[in-house]
Amino acid sequence: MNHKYSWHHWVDYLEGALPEEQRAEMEEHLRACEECGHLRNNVIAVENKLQLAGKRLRNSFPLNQDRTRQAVESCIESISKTDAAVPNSTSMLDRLTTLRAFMTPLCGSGTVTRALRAAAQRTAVPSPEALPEVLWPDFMENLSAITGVLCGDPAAVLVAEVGRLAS
Amino acid sequence: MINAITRLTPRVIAYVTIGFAACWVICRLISDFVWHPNWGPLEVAIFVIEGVIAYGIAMVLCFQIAAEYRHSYWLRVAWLCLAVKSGVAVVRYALDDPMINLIRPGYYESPWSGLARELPMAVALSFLVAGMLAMAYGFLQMGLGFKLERRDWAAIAGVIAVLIAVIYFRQDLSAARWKSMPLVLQAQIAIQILFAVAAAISIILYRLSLQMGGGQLALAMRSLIVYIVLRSMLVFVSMILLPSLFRVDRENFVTMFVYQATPWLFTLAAVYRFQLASNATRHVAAWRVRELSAKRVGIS
Repeated sequence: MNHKYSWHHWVDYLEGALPEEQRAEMEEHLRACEECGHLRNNVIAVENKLQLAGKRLRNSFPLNQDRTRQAVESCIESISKTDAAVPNSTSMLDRLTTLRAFMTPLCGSGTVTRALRAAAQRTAVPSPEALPEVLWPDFMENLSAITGVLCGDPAAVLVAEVGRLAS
Repeated sequence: MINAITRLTPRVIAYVTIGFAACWVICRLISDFVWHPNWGPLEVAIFVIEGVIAYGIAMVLCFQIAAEYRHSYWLRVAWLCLAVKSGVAVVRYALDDPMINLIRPGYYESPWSGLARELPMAVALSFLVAGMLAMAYGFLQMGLGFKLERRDWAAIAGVIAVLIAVIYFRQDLSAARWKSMPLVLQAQIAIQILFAVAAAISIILYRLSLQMGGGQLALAMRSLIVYIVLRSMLVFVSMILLPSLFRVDRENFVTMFVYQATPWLFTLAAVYRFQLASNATRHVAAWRVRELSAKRVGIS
């Protein structure tokens, strides 16, 4: 008796993926070999039992159209909540561009460049572009203070708000 | 009332200026053909009314702006000085009304009207100079790198040279006719010196506004500069070239026309500066609405 078949052969055979010639050869062996024939019958029986169990399990959770939609909506809601909880971290360059765009019509491009540089230096950073994420709140506090001196307190509050929104 | 004033825009100021200019021209025509000359020039009445309104608005706005600078000592002082200047200008215009002749005949031609005109003007100009100095110093000491250039100092020296030349070569001032009240003449001389000082400081403010690179703050400063330069030029023209034209020769249409419009330039400066915060608020509100809309679209 030739038990030359590996588990790959067995899997391909059971899934019907073996080439026709190999399949015929293997079936001839299974008919002749009691041990292998018994193994095949056991595997097929277990597979059938698993399929039946899976079917029973699926049928135990009947989902109609409404319940499906509710499930999808609750899933989307939980995803959006997760998104809101995790801060949407904008790049430093984008934040500085946003601040520039907001401040330039108020006090001019030259003033904004000077104010950003001064705020960065007060935060112990040589330039605003070199600002690390962790120093952003300190930088914004300094920039807001400078804006308050330049353009008054309402503008300072708004710059702080823009900094918060931009981050 | 104050709420209405705070909603004024530069465009509204422009329309009001044009409206008053048209009224002034009409009054001048009526004055030439209908009005009795002894009651004083009618167009000056319009000049007085618009001066009171323009400086009244400016005073309210300047006080509001000063209140915004709680953490900036020099800029708060600057806008408070400009507010006081506006308030004194309102009093000065009110006392300069030729219609007072209808109640007290001869007032407009008396030395008292000269004193009521020149003394408050000198006080107002002192506050203007103080306000401009405080503003310039406030910006220069911020540590943002604003600085003057060599040519600015040259221009300031030029203005001072012109002032000395004007004082040396000047013809008789209009206040010289009131010899019984020398204070009027002294106030008028002080006015001319103060205008020259204001013009010199406006060079500093001009340099600062250039270094700002645009924006509403620079617009406000430039309006103030144009106001001072125009007023100073009118004063110096009246001293050197056309001393008899102010208030004496009413044929001088162009000069008086420019003169009646200048208070609105000062108001415009205050409006530009005051609008800075409200424009910024609108900008942020619009932004937040856009952000919220974008979030809603993202979820659906």
